[in-house]
Amino acid sequence: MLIINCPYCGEREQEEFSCGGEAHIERPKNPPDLNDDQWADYLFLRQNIKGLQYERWNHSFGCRQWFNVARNTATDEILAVYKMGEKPPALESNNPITPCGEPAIGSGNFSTSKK
Amino acid sequence: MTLKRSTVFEDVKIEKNGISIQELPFVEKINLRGDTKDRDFMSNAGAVLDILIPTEPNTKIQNKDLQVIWLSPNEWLLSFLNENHFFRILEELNNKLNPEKTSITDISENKTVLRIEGNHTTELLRKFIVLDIDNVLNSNLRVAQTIFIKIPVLIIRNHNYQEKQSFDIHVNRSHSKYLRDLLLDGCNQFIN
Repeated sequence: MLIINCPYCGEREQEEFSCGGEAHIERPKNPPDLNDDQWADYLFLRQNIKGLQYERWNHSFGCRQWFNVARNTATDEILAVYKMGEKPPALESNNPITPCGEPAIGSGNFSTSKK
Repeated sequence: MTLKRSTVFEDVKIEKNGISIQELPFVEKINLRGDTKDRDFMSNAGAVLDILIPTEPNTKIQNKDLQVIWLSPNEWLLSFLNENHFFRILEELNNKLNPEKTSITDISENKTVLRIEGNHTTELLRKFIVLDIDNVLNSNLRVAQTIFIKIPVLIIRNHNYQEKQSFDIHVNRSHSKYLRDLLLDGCNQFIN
C-alpha cells in the first residue's frame, strides 16, 4: 500500500487513487501525417522503465483531480508529486541491480531494451 | 414535472450498542463548479449564497441556511438546511453566474445522508475506511471524500473536541442500505 500525497487533499492511501500511466506523452501535432506504426507507437508503446518513471495519477475517490507522480517503479518510492502543467523535476533514482541483470527498460524482457 | 423527493429508509433511526444511525430528512443539494481565479464567479456566488466559498481543501463553511462543502479546487457541494431557500438560490445562481464558465446542477436525488452518533463512532468508521480520521477530520469544519469498502462517500465531522462523536456520511442512495447494514454489523463489538 502506497501513501500518496495528493497536491490538493494531502496524504491518502493508494486505494483512493487510480494510475493513468506514463506522463508527459505529447500528442502528435498533426496526426494525419503519421503512418499506422507511428500512431500505434503514440497510442500504445510505453517505456515501462525499471527505475524512475513519471506517471499520471487521479484521486478518483477524493477530489477527482489529475496530477503527476515521479515514482521509482522498482522500489515503489515516490520521489515527487506535482500538479498537471508543471514541469517534471530533475531527479536521480537509484536503479536497483537485479540478480539476473535485467535491463532498466522492460520488465525482464531483454528484447525491449533500448540502447 | 413534479418530482417525488423522499428519504430511502422508512425506519429512519436505529440504535445499537450506543451508536445511533439515522437517515437525515431529505435535503436539497446543488453541485457548483467554477474557477476560483474568476473574480466574478467568486464574488457573485458569495453574494447569492451570503457566504464565502471555501478554497481550503477538505473544509466546509456553514450559515443558518446551507453548508458549502469543498469537493475539489473548482467544485463545491451546497447542502441546504432550509428548504425555503433552495429554489430561490438555484434561480439566482443561474441568473448571476456566467453559464459558459460555471456549472450549477441540482443533485438532490443523487445522495442521501446518514448521521452516525455515539462514543465509538470513530472506531466504527475505522473498520471500513482507509482514511486517517484523526489527521484529516480533526475539527468540526473538516470534511473528506474517501472510499467506504468500495463505496465513494463524503464524510463530514459535526462534533467539537470532547463532544459526543457525530459524523454525516453522504452516500449514493442505492448504496445506503449496504452501508447501513455494514455499520450495524460493525456495532456488534461495542457493548454498551
